[in-house]
Amino acid sequence: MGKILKLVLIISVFMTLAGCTKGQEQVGIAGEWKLESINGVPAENMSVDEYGGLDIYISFSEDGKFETFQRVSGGEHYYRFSGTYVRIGQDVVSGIYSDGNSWAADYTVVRESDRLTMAGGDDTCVYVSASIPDIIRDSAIEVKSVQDCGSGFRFL
Amino acid sequence: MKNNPIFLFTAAILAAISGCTAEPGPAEGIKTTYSCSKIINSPANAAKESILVRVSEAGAEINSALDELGAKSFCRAIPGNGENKEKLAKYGLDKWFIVSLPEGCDLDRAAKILSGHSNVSAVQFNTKFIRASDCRSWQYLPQIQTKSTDAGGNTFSDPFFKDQWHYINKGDRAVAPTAKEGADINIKDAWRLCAGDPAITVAIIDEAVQWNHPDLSGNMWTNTAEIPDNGIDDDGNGYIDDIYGINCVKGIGALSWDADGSSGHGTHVAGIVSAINGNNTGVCGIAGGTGNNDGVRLMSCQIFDGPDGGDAVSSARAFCYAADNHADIAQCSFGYSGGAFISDSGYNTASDGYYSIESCAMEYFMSEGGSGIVDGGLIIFAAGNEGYGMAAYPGAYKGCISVTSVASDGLPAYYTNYGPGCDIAAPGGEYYTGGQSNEKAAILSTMPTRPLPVYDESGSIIGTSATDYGYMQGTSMACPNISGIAALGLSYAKKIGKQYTRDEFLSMLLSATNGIDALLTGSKITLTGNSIGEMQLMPLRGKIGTGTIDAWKLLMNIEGTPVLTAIVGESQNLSLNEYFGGDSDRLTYTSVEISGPDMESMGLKAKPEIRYGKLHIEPTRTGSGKVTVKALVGGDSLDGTDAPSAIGVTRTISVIARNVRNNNGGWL
Repeated sequence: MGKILKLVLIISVFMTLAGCTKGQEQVGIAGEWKLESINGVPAENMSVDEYGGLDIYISFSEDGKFETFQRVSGGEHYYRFSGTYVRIGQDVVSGIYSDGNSWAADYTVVRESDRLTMAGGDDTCVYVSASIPDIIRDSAIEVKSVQDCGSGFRFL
Repeated sequence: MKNNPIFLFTAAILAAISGCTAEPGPAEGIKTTYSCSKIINSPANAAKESILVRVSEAGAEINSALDELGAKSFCRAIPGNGENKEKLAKYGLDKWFIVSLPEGCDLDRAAKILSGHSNVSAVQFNTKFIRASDCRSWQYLPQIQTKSTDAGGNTFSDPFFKDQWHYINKGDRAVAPTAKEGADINIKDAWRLCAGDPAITVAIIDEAVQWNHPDLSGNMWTNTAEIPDNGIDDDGNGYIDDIYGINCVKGIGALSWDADGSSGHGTHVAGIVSAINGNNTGVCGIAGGTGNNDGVRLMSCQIFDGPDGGDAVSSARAFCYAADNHADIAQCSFGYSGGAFISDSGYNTASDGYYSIESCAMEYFMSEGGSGIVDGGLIIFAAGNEGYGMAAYPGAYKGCISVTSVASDGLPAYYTNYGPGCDIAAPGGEYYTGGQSNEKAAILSTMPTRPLPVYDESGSIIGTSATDYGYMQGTSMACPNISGIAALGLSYAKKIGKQYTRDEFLSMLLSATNGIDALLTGSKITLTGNSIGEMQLMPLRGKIGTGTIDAWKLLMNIEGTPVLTAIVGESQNLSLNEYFGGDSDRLTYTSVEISGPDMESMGLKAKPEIRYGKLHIEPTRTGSGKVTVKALVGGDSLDGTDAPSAIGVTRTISVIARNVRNNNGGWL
């Protein structure tokens, strides 16, 4: 009797543990991230100029807000976009910018230690955990609306 | 002032004031062929008291011809000191002389006698320009400021900023019944990044600027090599006591903004460029700084002295002085009557390749001017106010930017020239927008602090110019909007440590626009002929330039290259509006280049090309690259033989090929 009880206990603990690791929790995305590659191409090799290559930082907060700091070709300044996001199921993230534009796609996220992969609309971007430098935060140009960008300006 | 018939009548009279005439004389202006090939132009609209001569070599004498003529004097047109002597010689400017003619001298006879001398290689009639505005000014009457009317949300503290609709247009019906929100130069966001830099200098080539106007004095350029008022040419540049610029008409250092017959035109134009910002006084200037003595500098090159001047030799002196003193921009709200010249070759050439003195001087400024941000000087001209189908010269000449005028409704003003040679549009104001007659729809800027008498053709005084601050309209006012924004751009380039060739900077300037062609349908209500009527807009399509200037877009062009996203696996045509202005699909494109590695990076099987005015590209994998595209602005050809030559604009476009694209530029 004792042995069966022990076995049941062990099995139920095991199943509980297995249950915990088997998809009851959402993929953690909160934190600050830096783009490492897009579709296998390293970001630093894309649109290279005297300031460097493509550089994208994303910050996801716990309370459903996000910011991006983008430096895309030919400029020293980073542009800050912001907005909100929601989680759908365990591993889908959907967002909308503060100007009302949705993200170009909903993204399926996979987390492996300090790397976050976001796949959506046939693009797969890999981000590595990195804090956003103060100098980038402080000098970023705020993009509040499409008006700021001009029509289709900085079209990504 | 609304639809007052007496006003309209008076306006018509005033529009005919000598030196400010709006009446074109195309028939007189057409070049006559002379059998003697040394005479390079015609006496139409030329000064009667002087004529220009180019000698065959420096130091050559022509006394026999001067004696026969009874010439009163014979002097170097452009003074040359030690520093600029060699430079001037390179452009032949050391060989030009001005001959002062006796009273009643017949110009044709004078030209014949002079050209008969073997030491004379060219003779040029000293043609007079007209200011590109009716010179009419309207008094600004500031409302009494109370707390509740205090204009909140102003970037700067200047109390009259709210009436400068060309900076922020709120579509206020008090400006015009058809005033349109957003029909402005989009300066508000640009000022977040930069508002000017005292290392940048704009030469105001015009009537003299009132250098001690309270809203201008802190931004005046000063010649620190001269000791004021000591009667000595301390820096040996050929001008005595030239502190804020020179009187190019008299060839002296002392400016006179109030010479009888002046209108305040120069002071008004200067204020648009760089009235002091943030000093709790008056108006704002595009590059007027932030209130910390940091606006761009204004150099006054006076070419109109009352009824005198405004001629070829005065403007030549102005360009040379501006170049020698490192001005970055020559702001030129004047020109010949529309139709006086109809092609670059007609304007420029003489026999034996001797160009007119002022085109030599303009070349001198374009090559030798500037403070180093750009590898030469930039010349910005007003297109002219005769409703003529071509930009006036010299503005239409190659290398010069020619500016057309739009009103507070975002549409062309009734008076603006258009067509070949016109490069870009900016607010120049229009009293009659929507059928009204209201100075608030014109451009508000600084005016002299004393009223100046305004004369009619018979010499009677019929009114006075506005005092302290006032409204004026014209391509004269559109032009300094472009000069001010260019100066702002140079200031920003300096701030972030960038340098450009002339071509690069002009390309960025001309592509920093919002499209206007889509708006040019139907008609608008404004002055047509001598009464209010419908002005048709379709005939102006493709003729106003690349679009209306956007100051923010220029700073963004300087900041860095905008980026186009191309979708992998798609055959697509991408709009070039961000690179060539809002009417990019109507320009003439001449080439598309891309490097081999960049083609490889994006997996391009064929070079990108222009289709239907857009960039056609088919990337097959994720990657990036740069595409260099060339286009023509203000014409169809760089060849100036039969028409004003176009300006070549080159932009390098950055393309990222990926699978998703967002409309607002966000990465996600």
